[in-house]
Amino acid sequence: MTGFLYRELRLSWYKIILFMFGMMVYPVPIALLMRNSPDMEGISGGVSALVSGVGAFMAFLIGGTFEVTMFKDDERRKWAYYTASTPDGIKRQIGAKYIVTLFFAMATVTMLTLVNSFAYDGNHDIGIATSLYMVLFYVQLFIRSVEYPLMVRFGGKMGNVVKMVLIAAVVLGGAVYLLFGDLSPFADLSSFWDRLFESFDDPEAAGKIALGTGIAAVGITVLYYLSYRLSVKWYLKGVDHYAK
Amino acid sequence: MQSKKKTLLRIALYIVLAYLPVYVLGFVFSDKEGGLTSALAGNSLMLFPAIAVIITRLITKEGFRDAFLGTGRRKSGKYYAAAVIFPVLLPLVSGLILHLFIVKSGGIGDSAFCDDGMLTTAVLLTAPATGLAMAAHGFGEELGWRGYLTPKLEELMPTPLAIVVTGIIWALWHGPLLAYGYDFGRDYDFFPYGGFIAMIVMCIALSAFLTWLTKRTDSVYPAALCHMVLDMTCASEFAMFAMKADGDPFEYRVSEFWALILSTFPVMIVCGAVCIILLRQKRISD
Repeated sequence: MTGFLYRELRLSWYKIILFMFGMMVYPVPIALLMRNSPDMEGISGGVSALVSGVGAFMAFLIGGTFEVTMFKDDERRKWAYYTASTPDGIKRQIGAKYIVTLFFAMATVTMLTLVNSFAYDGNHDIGIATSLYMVLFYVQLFIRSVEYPLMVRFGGKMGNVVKMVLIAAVVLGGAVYLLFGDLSPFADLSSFWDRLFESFDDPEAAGKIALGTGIAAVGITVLYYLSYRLSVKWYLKGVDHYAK
Repeated sequence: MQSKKKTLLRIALYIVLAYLPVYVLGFVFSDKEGGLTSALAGNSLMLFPAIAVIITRLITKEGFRDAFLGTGRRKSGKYYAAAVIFPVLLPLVSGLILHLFIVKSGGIGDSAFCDDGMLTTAVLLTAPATGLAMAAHGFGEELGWRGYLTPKLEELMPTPLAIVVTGIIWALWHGPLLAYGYDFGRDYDFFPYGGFIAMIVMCIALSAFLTWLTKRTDSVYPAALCHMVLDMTCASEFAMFAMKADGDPFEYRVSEFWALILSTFPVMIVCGAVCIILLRQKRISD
């Protein structure tokens, strides 16, 4: 595994550095703005965490692009068959990619935490958004858990199509809910965010949210491992879909 | 002789590089109560040992071949599991000891831990999950202490002694924070020297366990994971045993400082001693 990990870092080091900088394109200006600007006086607590969250969301989105590219770069039949011919080659090849993805997501959380701390040092009214980064970290892992086996099984292009179909299904489900579901919580949008943040102050609601987050996090960790096992199982089936 | 001198110089360089930023930031940004006034300084402290290792290895041209950066030996899964289970179990056993021997009135059933099942489960699940997400911080320290200092010290002395020396250096690295009451507060006799001694004992015991994880897997990642989960879990879990369901603290037979030490240290010390024995046995069998 170490060899494959080394190969991954050796081949992608410039991409890793570029994406690390790229990921901070949104969070750093947001942090600078929240730290210094007098216009930000009204933005504090939960709202500031939400603003930081937008930057963090963009950082994870850009980081995700790197993670997917890393998989696509190895879509070559010769390489796939060579890997498969080595002892435990498939497990190690796939494992290295899953580990780099995990490390990349961890590094994202660390960088975002540092940027958020930098903003907090300049303006103590803004919120520490570490919990939000943790949620985004697991959302990232969840998306990769679903995406990677599809990419392995159907190839990058087809995998993307399957992913888009799944996303379309979720959007369709959302649309159906918006048409026929209970929309009372969203009836008064002006007070929606206030009510949301107030619910965090309620110990029982906060406890429920924490429990839900904990269960989801543990579930996603298990799912990530199962996704790795599935990718290993599907690797050779997917080789036929590779263009070259 | 030449080789020993070289190793000593490398260790000295690493220690200076690891200590310098932490002592500068620790004193400049100290809030005089064991914390830091700068969140950025506080959140970056754990990364300095790793930065020190990278600079040391570049200066000495050692390379990173023996830096324990690989994923380690095959079938290391159980050690990764141990890296998560130990920090979660440690406060549970400590809480039991606290209520068996140290709490004056009231039982474990009255504690916040047993009162609110939902909150307890949330803490038990969320703390390790946060530890995993923040594991890069743990990596920052472990790459330095277990990935560099202990192996270098092993070139000069037996493994158990290397673990003890690493523990002492690691504990004193927290010096600027300890001097103002980090981890153990300020309300105890012989402040802050008592806190320094307690930290040294704790770091030696943890150093043994983390070294055992690193050596068994040939990788620094289980130790990094364990370190971060421990940081995230220990205080929050133990605090739930230390207070009643209504949030009031229990009355102890001893001071708060000794209550913390007497309940948490026995488990750590036993675990550390077992790890040192296991490492010695492995060395003999090798």
